Amino acid sequence: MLRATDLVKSFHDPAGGVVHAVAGLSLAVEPGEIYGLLGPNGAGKTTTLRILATLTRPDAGQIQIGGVDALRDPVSARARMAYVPAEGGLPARLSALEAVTVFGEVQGVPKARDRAMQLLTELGAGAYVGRECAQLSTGMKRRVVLARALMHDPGLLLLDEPTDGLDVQGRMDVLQLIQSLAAQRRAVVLSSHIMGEVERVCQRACIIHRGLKIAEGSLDELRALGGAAALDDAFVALLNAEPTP
Amino acid sequence: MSPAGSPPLGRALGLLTASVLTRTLREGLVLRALIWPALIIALTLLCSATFVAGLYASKSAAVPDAALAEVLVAKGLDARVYADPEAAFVSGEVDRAAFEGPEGWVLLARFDGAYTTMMESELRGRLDAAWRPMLVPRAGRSAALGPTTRLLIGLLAVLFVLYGVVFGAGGLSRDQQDGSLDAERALPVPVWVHAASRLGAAGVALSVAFAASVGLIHAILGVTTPIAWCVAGGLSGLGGAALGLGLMARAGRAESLSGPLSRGLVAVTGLMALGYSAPDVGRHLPVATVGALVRGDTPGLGAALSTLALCALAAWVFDRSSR
Repeated sequence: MLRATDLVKSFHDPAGGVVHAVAGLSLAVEPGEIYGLLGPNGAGKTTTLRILATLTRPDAGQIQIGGVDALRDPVSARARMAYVPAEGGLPARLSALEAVTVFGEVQGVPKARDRAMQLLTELGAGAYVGRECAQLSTGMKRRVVLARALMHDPGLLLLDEPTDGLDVQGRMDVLQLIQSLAAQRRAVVLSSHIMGEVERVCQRACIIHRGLKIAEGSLDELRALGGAAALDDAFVALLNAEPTP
Repeated sequence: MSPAGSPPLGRALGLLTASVLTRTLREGLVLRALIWPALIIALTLLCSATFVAGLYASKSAAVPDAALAEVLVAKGLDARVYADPEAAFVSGEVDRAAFEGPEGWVLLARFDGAYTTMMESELRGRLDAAWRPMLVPRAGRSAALGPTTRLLIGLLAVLFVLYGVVFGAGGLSRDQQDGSLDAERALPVPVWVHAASRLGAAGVALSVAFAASVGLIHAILGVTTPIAWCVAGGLSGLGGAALGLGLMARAGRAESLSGPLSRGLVAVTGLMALGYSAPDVGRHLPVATVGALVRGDTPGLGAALSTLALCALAAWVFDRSSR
């Protein structure tokens, strides 16, 4: 579903230097798979997701989404995926139903309002459809954001820290939702720095540090690479093994 | 899972514009900012008019005989005897005149109001005559008020241009910060559509609110070129929004709103000053049309084309800066 090869992205920093946000990253995700992008803050997770979502153009590399070259035809690639930014990105002054419906209408979804209502109800936000997004709790916003992402039935979901700001119950609910999406043969890429939730839902993951992929594989393979029984210990060991610039 | 086909671009643009417009107008602060200036101006004008009318109500009247003049003077009017009261009225020497015409008595008056009513009442009772007063508007009223009205509407237009910059830069900054811009940009439409939808929403909101404001003031004062003002104000508001959007897009998420906003405000102020100081040039330039119209130069076709060009430039900057 997703195949990214040798992605490179650099930014100029205010001091006149160059920051290598993504340095030769490759990854592939199959339908039904939940793939984790792990890394400390500032590792390049969000930049990678933005590149995959065609929001940021890489300096080099290739991206195929559902067989479409995302760099040559980003509009077609976007029709095959959904991107959920860490902030959620819900317009404060629209109701939950309006926010979801307009995304469906723009994407040509037939009977968009009915589908929005159906998705919001399925995701447990049916009681809040008329409420302005600004008035929703963080957990409810996540449900609305996921409903919006599913409006056009995408094959690939790119989720940037989808449980950020949620309490324990909210986090569990969202992770369950993500698992159910993957069970419907959707490919999911999620970024996180919380090992517990990665262990709970991801089949494979890669660890990014300073834009470089330092490890990739199944969770067992990552634990073995880090020489630890727990994923967070393995994560820290792998980061510490990297030379300090 | 089946990817939706590419939606028609025009429909997507319309839907996104409507969405941005809805969000904008649901901000209470924005709505109040659009409505209040015209209401405050109208209220101020009405209060001023009432105050001035009370202070300077003309009492002059021309009548054909001394007995009538004496009665009217006793009522508080400044009534004088003229051989030809009508001529005195037409020449502007007096604001009321009563005389016997070919078909009966005639009362001419430039103002309605208490003194005219009093004079009519006195004449009716005294003469038992069957006639109605004829109100004649003061000649050249619109021309005399023209410069004042232009200045007043010009100030309102300047305010709306500044709003344009705030709408363009502020709306984009808000959407950058809360992630809604990224969410929208992940939709399967070209990036420039998101810039166009924001400019379209700002253009509609500002144009409609400004036209309503002009209409309100026109109803009170009489604006000599209301359509030209609506065109110039709408185009300039759109131009301000394009400048704000372009500058904010160029600054990106790394810079806060204050920098691009202040640059935008300085730019539009400079353009309006240019239009005022060189109206022949300014009437063809975006935003500068407001300054030119204060001097009396109506916007040309060039103003519309150059404003559209500025919007296209802003959309291009938005597209390039988003990568």
